[in-house]
Amino acid sequence: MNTGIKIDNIEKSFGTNPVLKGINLEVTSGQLVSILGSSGCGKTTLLRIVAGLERATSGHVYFDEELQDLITVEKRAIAMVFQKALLFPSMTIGENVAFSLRASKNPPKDIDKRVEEMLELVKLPGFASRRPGELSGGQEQRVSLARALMRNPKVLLLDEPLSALDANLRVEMRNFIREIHDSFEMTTLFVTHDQEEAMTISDKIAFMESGVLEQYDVPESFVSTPESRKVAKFFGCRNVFSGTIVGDTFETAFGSLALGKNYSRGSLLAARQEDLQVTLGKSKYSFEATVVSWQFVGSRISIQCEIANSSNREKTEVIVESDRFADFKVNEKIFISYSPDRLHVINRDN
Amino acid sequence: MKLIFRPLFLGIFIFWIFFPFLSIIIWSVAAGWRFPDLLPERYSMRGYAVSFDPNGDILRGVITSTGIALTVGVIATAIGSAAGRAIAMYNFKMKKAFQFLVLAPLIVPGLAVTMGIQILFIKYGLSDTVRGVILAHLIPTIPYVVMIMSGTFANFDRAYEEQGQVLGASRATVLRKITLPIVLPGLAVSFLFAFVISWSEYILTLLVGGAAVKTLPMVLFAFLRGSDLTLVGAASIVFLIPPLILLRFTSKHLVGRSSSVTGLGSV
Repeated sequence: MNTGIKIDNIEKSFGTNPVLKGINLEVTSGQLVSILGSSGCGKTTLLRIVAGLERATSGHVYFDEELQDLITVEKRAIAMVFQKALLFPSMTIGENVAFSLRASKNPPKDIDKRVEEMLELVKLPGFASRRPGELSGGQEQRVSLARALMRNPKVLLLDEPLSALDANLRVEMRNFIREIHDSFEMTTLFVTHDQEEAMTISDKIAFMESGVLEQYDVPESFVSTPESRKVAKFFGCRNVFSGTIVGDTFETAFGSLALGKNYSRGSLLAARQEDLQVTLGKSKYSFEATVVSWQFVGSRISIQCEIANSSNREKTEVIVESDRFADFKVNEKIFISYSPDRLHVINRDN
Repeated sequence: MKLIFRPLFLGIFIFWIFFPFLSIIIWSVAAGWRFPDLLPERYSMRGYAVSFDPNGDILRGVITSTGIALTVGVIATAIGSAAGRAIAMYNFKMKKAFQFLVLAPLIVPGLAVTMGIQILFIKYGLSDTVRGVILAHLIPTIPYVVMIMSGTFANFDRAYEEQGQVLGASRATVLRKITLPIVLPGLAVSFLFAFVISWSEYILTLLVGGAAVKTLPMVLFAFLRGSDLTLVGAASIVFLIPPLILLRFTSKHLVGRSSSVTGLGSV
């Protein structure tokens, strides 16, 4: 597999404000990679640098080993879709889709036919003569996608294309984007702040926080093996305990927990709330806790507990999620059991 | 009461605006119109015959004025649009000072400036030339274009241009196919303003063009002194026609139906 996109130590500052602090990312050709992060993390800036719309303060961008830094936006083998559909108001839908063909030096002769084919692909057949204002948000975004694909890009850049759409449409459109990606030979970078969106459609996720690439991995790794506290928290892990590794156990303030794997370093332990279980009796891998409160989360129940620390006078908070609808009482003593191979030691604290 | 007042006020308003025109229209076809008469005794087309005489001053004035006003319209719209875009969309050093300088001609009396400019114009051989008059007319026209276009560009989403670029369009193509169609209403209104201001400019033309550049207002002033009111009437009607034709094609952009011209915004 060759490298589709290589982002080599990209740094970017706006004035004295650093936005990207040395990003390294290699995207395998043909993959769909999401750049995920909360707003202001620099993900859009990174995408704009890949597109050439923004100039990096330092670092390089390569497409298939070819340096892009000195290539202007319009000459890069890209196409980009923004959050807003940005259909050109003076043109019809068909003219919008044909834009890249007409702007090229040698416009092909069968433009109308190719436009119609592309509109069929995005499930808008016969829309060529309509005007941008007559379409719904989802339709506009599909036209925008069709217009981008018409350029036959080597790299497709999507900058939160679904954020402006309502929830149901978003789910439909993200699957559609995956389908489209698979039917073209291209590498796709998909910027989003929606964790679920990234998890569902990506081959890999690049998670960014405050201008730093925190983790770059396949989606399931962000749940099972988060590399930092921020990643664990962002992907919904509510129990992160500090402590030290002692042999094959992890010593926390409230006691020691058995580990399923050998870890050489790390001072944080991630235990996902849905991997913990409430048991009536004591078992080999369990600890005792006191119920503080509980609430329904969808069809499950989330129980907030406390464990008295053995090393100091404070208490450690633990969240357990259970699908058992039992009647819990405040201050009730319960046992929380875990399976050692589901615990994960994080080696970076930030 | 409302039913009576509305047509009444509308009537007064229309009368106020159009009554002077009415007397000009009548004068232009009157062969003699003395004081107590409500209407002229006799009518004649002499005024128009003189106005459209191919060798007459009026028709030549129309041609000179049209040429100058069209040129001024194009140049002022081009320069003013660039300045308006800069003011609306970019931040740069001394922006406030730049804005003030661009708009200063609206505040500083043009006459005072022209007196100074005239000396320079004489030095560079621009005095008494059409080129000189065109340059002088840019002084009062550019500020209006800047005001209109900075409002237009304040409402223009630069993302459209970026969208064009990421689809492979060069800067020139983006400007021609994306930006210009979007800001077209602003350009049309700017051109109208610049044309009309240049078309009716008298003092600047007089000072810079001297007797050599005879625009229509210069000719009209000469006739006014001659007290041939039939001729003045006809010439005035001729004077009105080109701006009205232009207004006919740009008026749809003036009445706020177009979202890109929102008053004289942002400055």
